[in-house]
Formats: sequence, C-alpha cells, structure tokens
Amino acid sequence: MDARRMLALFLAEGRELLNRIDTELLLLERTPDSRNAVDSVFRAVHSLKGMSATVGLGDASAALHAGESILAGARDVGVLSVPQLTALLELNDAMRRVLDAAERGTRTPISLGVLTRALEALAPEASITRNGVDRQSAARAVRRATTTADAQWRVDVSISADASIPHARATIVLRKLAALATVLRVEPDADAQAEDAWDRTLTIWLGAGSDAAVIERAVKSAGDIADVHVAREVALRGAAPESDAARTVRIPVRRLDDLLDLVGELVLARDRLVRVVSPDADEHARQALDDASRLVTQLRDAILTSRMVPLAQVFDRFPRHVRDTAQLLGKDIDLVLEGRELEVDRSLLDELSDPLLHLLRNAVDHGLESPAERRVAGKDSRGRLVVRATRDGSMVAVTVADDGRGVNRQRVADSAARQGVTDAGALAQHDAGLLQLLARPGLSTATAVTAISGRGVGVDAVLSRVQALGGRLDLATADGAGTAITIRLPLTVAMLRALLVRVAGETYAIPLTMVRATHLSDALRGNAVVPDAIELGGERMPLVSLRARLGLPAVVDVSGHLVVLEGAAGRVALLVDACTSQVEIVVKPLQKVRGAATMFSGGTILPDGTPSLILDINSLT
Amino acid sequence: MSHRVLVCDDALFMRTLVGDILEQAGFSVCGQAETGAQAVAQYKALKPDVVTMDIVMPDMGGIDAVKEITSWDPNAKVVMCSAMGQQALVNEALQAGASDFVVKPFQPNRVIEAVQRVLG
Repeated sequence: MDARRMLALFLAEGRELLNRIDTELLLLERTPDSRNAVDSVFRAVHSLKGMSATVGLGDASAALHAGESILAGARDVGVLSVPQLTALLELNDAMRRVLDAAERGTRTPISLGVLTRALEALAPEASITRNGVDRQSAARAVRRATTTADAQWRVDVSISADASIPHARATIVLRKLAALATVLRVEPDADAQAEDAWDRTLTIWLGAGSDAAVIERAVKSAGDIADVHVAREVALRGAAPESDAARTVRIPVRRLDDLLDLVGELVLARDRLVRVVSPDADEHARQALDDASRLVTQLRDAILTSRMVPLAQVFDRFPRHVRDTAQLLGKDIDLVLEGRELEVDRSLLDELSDPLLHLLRNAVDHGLESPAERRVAGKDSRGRLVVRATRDGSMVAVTVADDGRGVNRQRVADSAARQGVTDAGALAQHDAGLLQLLARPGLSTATAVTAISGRGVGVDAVLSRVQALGGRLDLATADGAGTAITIRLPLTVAMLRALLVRVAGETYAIPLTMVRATHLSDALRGNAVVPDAIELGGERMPLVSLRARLGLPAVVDVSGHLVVLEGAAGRVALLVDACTSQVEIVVKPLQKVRGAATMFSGGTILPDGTPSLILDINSLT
Repeated sequence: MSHRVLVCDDALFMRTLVGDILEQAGFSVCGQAETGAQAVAQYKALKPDVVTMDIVMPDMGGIDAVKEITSWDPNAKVVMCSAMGQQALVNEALQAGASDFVVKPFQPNRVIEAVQRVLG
C-alpha cells in the first residue's frame, strides 16, 4: 500500500474513531458507570494510538497512550472523573486537528506535549504501562474476541498438511500473536478447528500495534506453518453489522461515484438503444435487448445499494455539537437520536450534515428556553431535542423537533410586513406560510427577528440546499409547545426524475419534485408584454419568462406552457416554449465559473445523447 | 555449551529413545523423570533449558506437572510428548503453559525441530 492510500485510510477510519469516542464520552458524562462505554472508548483510543504510530504521528500516539492509561484505570474502577472526561474530550479535539493537519500535509498546529503531560497526570499510576502494552487488558480483550471492528491486521495462516494435531498448532500460533497485539477474532473457532474436516487454514484479526514482518515471523515460529499472509485490515466500519465486518472492504467514495456515473451513462445508452430498435425487429434481438435492459436496471440498483451508509455517520456528531452549544448558552438539553441505523446514499449523507447542524443550532439557540424560563412556563427545566429519521417511501425524512417556545407568528409577520410582504399576516397563520416567510433571504438574516424568536437564521440556506437536492422542507410549530422541522430528501440524489422543457430550441431539465403543475400559456392571451405576475388555479404568483432569464427577448407566447414551481420563497410560474417529456436523469455537478450566472444547479445527458442543463429553481424566484 | 534437557516419560524405552535423538543432535540430557512429581522436583533441582513431557504419567500427570513448573518458572520451556488420540489433552497442556508438542511415534527431526523452536 502506498503512503497516500495509507494516509487516506488512516484519516477515514481515524475520524470514525473520533466520532465514536465523542459519542461514548458524552454517554459517560450522563451515565458515568457505563462499563461498556469505557471499554468502547478504550478500544477506540487504543486503535487510534496504533494507527497514529503506524503513520508516523509519534506525538499523537504518545498523547493517545496517556489517554488510554486513564481509560485503562477507569476500566478497573468503572468510572471516569469529570477532569478525566474533560481531558479526554480535549484529546479528541486535538486529534481532530492532528488529522486535519495530516490531511493538508502540514505540521500539527498544536503542542501535544502539554496535553500528554496533563493526561498523564490524570492517569492512575498503576495503569501507566511501560511499553504501551497492557497485558491484562489484552487478555480481557481476547476473551471478548467477537469483533473485528478494531482490527488492523488480518492474518491468514495455513498449517502444513503433514502437521500433527493442527488445532494444537493453531493454539500456539494464537499465543504467539497474542503476545504482539490484541487477538480480536479467529475463524474458524476452536471447536471447528478440532474437527477432522477442518482445512487447516485460519484467519486471525489483530488490533493495532506491531508490524507485518514481526507478525509473520511470529506465526512461522509456531512451527508446521505452510503459508502465512499478513495484510492490513480494511473493514468498512459502520456500513455493515459487526458480524459482517470481516467481509467488507473500504472503498474511496470517489470510486463509487465513478461507478454510479458509468452505470448512469449505461442506463441512458440503454434507453437510446431501446428507442432505435424498431418494434418489428427480429424477436431474438428484442429478447436479448430486454434481457440486457433488465440487467442494466439491476446493476444500477446494486450500485445504488452499495452506496448506502447509515445516518449514524452524521448523527453521531450531534451529541457533541449540541452539548457544546448548550453549554455555551447555559441551556440544559436532552438530545434523542432516532433512526441512526437508517441507510441513505453516501452523497446525501454529506448534504444532510450541514442543514441538520444548522437546524440543531437554531433549536438550541432560539427554540429551547433557558432552564429558568422553562420552569416559569411550567416545563421540565431540561429541554428535549429529538432528531428522528424515518423512511418515507423513496424519501428519507429527518425531523428536528424541540419542546421549546415555538415560533412567534406575530413577530415574524411584523418583520415580513416591514420588508414589504403584503399578505404576511395571513401567511404567518399557517405553518406552510410561516415557513415561506422564514425562508425569505432578507428576513432570515434580519437580526431583529433572530433576537426575538429565532428560527429565521439560515432557514433560507437550508431550504435552498434541500430543494436543490429534489427535497422539501416542512414546519410545524405551536406556541409554547415547540417546533419541528422536517427535511425530506430522495434516498439517492444522483439520479432524479426531471421535467424537460424547451426554450429557443434548447432543452432544460427541472427536478420533478419542484414542479406543482403545468398550464397552457394561453392564459397570457391579450397581454402585450409578459406580466410580472399571473393568477393560475386561483392563486396569484410571480411570472418568470425563461427566455428573458436566458438573455433572449421575452415574447408573449400563447402556444407555450406555464410551469408552476415551488421554490424557496413560494410558487412561481415559469413561461417556456414547451414541456416535452419526463425522464430519469443523472445529475452531474457543474464546475462553478467565477462570475457566471448561477441559474443552473447541474448538468445531464439526455436519453437522446444531447447535453442539458438543470435549472436551479431558487435562482428564478 | 550444549543445551540441557530434562526428559520425562514413565516408559524407560521412550526416555531412552528421546534421549538418544536429542544427544545425537548435540543436546545434553541432564536428567530423567518417570512421574509428574519427579518431573517437577527435577526441574527445580536441575533448572534445565528445556523439558520433554509425556502426558500420561503416574503420580501427577504431565499437564499438572506443566502447570506446576510454569507457575514456578514462567519462562520454562516444555515440549509435550503426546500419543495419537490425545489431541484435546495437547491443547490443554498448551493452555497450561507448554510451549510446543510432538506426536508419537517420534520422527527424530520433528523432535529436534520442536526443541530448537522453543529455545528460539
């Protein structure tokens, strides 16, 4: 493995470990005597220590070793003190910066020496181990040996065909390895090894520490070894239940993206092929095409499935985030995470992270009251914040709900009215209208509003992000009882159904989730110029000529279509030459060109092979 | 100076056979024992570099002898000498602290390899 790949693996797995450490430490803060959590943090810190040493981060490894000593002591006592807990959280923060620096290829920006000494001072003396090996805990770990989650090495051993009592030989192999690193798992197990049918091969997963050459020598020294192969373990953590971890591989996301791109192209090529093969073609040819067509669909589904990862990867960052914000603001908050096991497309996971953090921050800052204020209102002084993920058909719905004071409709209405929104008062009375007001860019950044009742900060940013991904946002709020905001996104964002429209001979795509209705444009009959607004289906809304937006002269075209779109700031009618069809498209990101108009959110290749741009609806409204 | 071996087996024939194999390979047999209790006593008295230990012996079996010896000297090197059909016992002996094993009938080179292995 080359250095770059090793570093990438280190960073990916290291950050997962840091998230786990954060999560478990916060759990410990609440329930200090959770031995499982202490064990889990210990293993994570231990793994990270070994990994850091392996990539040459000696200082970090030393700091982690000191942290591990605290945890080793805590495993005996069964509890972490507050200073210990705080120091371990600091260690975690420091490690995040170490990893960030390693990623940039720069030196660690902080002195780990001070932190290491602070950690050492907090460790019980007995558990500071001489050379980083705590024999007792290693022995305990072997007995628990059921997981490969921390595995750093995979050792495949084949015992000579002429060896006597091969399972006894296996025992010697295991003992040799246990002296080097924690034996996490052995396959087959001891009982299966004792059977005559055993093929004399075994696989051992080892924790961090040691190196390949040393491990190989140790195995060979057990005698009667036909073959030994030592490899760095590459388990895809978190993507599979632990029992499956041994059969998983870690793949860079980019490669999965490439695969998805290719299969997307394949789907489109298939569609073109289906189109050109005439219905009266040879039956065998049609049959073969049908088969190939079905396989392409299955292949696409299989690739989409392989990209699914549990929401836990994002959710597990929340406890720390909420804790820090709450502490800063002097609030007492119970965070409940539900549905962290739900799986979504990898690209979606990245997209969900920021909007959710945004909503959480809003809830902590503005939605939830201070303990004193809550007591006055007759509520539990500890606020409750729930992040709940559920599957909703082909969408995933993530709700951030608090039991805080709720959005003050009157204040929002007043603020919007000051901005010139004519029907603000009426809109603010129902939740959908209220969300529309809150999502007005001008309003959301107005400090007057955020200081009063909040919920305005960055809602526009969240909404436009969500809609760009073909999702939607819903709000439910009750005065004094709390606020819930739900983000709904398609389970996969890379492919979506789109409405194709034509303007001046060019075809543009609009995500179908944004389209509310289409009308014939003969409603415009009698207008000399394209009006600014139009009444459609009993509702008045702004009218935008796509021609005009594209820099062409706007014409009153009564033989075209009006597409009603639901954007960040409500509905808007878009005048186009024609609506042509609905198709499935693969979204390709556009390189952002400095100064270029941002009215497109991406590009795609249409089934007939021509390129097309995807309209960013929010830029139109 | 050659390594000193303590050979433990209740059968004289086996003791002689093992002794010969090892002497020919350049080891020196410093003592012999025919019971587990003797093996422990001899070990403490002679402090050999390596022990070959039969499993089935009167007056304390080989496995218990291994436990006694390794608890007295954690670095003791004991090679178990097992007959066919004693697979489970061999594993037990290894758990008890034995370092390696050979299976009867002895092939000279296997015995020598095992002893050399445990001596590192």
